[in-house]
Amino acid sequence: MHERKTVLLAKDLHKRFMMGNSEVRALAGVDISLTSGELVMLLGPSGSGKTTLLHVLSGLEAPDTGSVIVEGKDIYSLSDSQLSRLRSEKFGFVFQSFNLLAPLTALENVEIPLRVAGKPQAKKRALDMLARVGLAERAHHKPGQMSGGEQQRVSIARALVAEPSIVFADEPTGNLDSDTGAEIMGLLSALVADNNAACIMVTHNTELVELADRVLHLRNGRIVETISKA
Amino acid sequence: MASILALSGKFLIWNLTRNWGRTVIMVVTVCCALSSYVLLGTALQEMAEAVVQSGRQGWPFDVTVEGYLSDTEISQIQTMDGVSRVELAHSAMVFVGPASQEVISMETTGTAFILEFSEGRLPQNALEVAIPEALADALGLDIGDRIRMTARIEGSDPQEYEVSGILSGKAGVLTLPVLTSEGIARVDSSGQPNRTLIQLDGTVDLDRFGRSLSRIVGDAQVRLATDAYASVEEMRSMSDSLVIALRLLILLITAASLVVLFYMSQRGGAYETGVLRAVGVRREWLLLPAIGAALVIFAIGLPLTALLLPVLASGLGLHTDPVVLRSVMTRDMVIYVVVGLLSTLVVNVHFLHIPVPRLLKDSW
Repeated sequence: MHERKTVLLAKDLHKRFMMGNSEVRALAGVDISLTSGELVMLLGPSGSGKTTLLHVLSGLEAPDTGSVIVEGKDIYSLSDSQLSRLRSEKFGFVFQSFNLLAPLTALENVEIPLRVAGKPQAKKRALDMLARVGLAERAHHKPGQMSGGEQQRVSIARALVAEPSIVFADEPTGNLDSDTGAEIMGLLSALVADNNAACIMVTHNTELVELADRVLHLRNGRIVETISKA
Repeated sequence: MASILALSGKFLIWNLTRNWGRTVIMVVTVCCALSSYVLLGTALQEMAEAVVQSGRQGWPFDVTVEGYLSDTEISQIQTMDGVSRVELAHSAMVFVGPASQEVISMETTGTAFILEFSEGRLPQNALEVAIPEALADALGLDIGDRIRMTARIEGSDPQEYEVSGILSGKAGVLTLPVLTSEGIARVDSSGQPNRTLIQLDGTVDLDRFGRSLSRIVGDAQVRLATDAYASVEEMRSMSDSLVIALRLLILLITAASLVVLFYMSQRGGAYETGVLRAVGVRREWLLLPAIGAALVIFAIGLPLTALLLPVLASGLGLHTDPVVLRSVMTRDMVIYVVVGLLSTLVVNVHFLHIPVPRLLKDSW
């Protein structure tokens, strides 16, 4: 049994954008916490602020006000290099469009977070991770030579190889057919649980909520409903 | 760090090879930008030189040493600061009729004297002379007429010459009769150059130069063209300012074209930059492949420019020596590479501060 602890605590997040001449409130006072080993899903209509919330929580885009605390520190008080280090060591990312780097092989793509974090045995660990996602034999293929499902598995391997404490996933099944999507979701949730990582995922697919420990509904930049598994 | 360098190397190679068309365009742009900078700069410099020369009127030299100098002394003069040209001439004073007149003989190939003729040509033997238009008019002489000159030594016999050419009366054209070395020997039997003519580049103080020169030439008399040199200095200062301003303008324009080019190149790699930033690659590490790519582009573009410059110069009708062009290029290349790298740095620093979600806009 893994230990459960709070790995991220966000308070009173606000974010506004200018779209043309009008101001859009993307986040309007969001509070959220993530616990290790838990899978949280963000649901809501387009423009409700899901993706913005993911960006802000993962240190990719600063909020106008509010704080995101990881390991006792507000990540937006860190320098760029400290924040980069945090992202490489503690965060994993799974993108809707896989976002693999075309010139690199699957193995090299998976190695990146380990190399960036300066971790030893990068190649061996990346190969092990590829084996866990069932792609050991495709290690030396480039993304262009792989199917969408395979690419997303490589992407999951890259997100988890450095054993992050939080995985951020933005519609990881959005570009996949339903069978492949279900397979990928099964794989992602299993690996996240194995690593005792927290995972926060944006999705439009209501069928996936069964897998979630907690579901947050966003509307107009606010969490309007929270459903937790009993 | 070693693994990051290896990763940067992979991205550098990928950046250069994934779109050959763009890489070739970048190399061509570097070639064109540097060529235009060097060629326009050289042409402007030559034009400025011509403007400075035009201020010297009919006598294109600032200092004249009267007397015979040894080869060592002449070599020493040639290496003095501010000397742009040294020529040797043989001069003599003669009587043309009752009037006293200076005549001259010099190496006519590559001379700074302007030898433009309204009629005829240079003398080709000991019996010919080319005379200035003013003298021809005063004496009523034409091509083929004869003129008598007598050395200013008591008991000398007059010598007769045939007029082979009449020097134009335009500003800047030499205003002395010109003889061959054999021709001048007929009125001055010393038979060797007795004038060392020095042209300065307009950057040195004439009096100070005269004092240094006197130390080299000993007893020989040093004559300074003080008034003419003041005008040369003024012209030099004005033309230098103009040339510097225009060269700076060309540099800015070509640097701007490089900035645009490198920016376009970076935009092409926005997605990869976004992914790498998202997974925690630091900004400064991402500068490595960008600067590496710029260096590779320069490393290909610069030797190519050195090869193409003489062809371009000749195609554009510039008569600059290829060796001079390459030496100017080598000097300017350093400025250019620094400007190119600064452009790359500015573009990349700006680019790497774009928020990651914007870099990944299509994928998030």
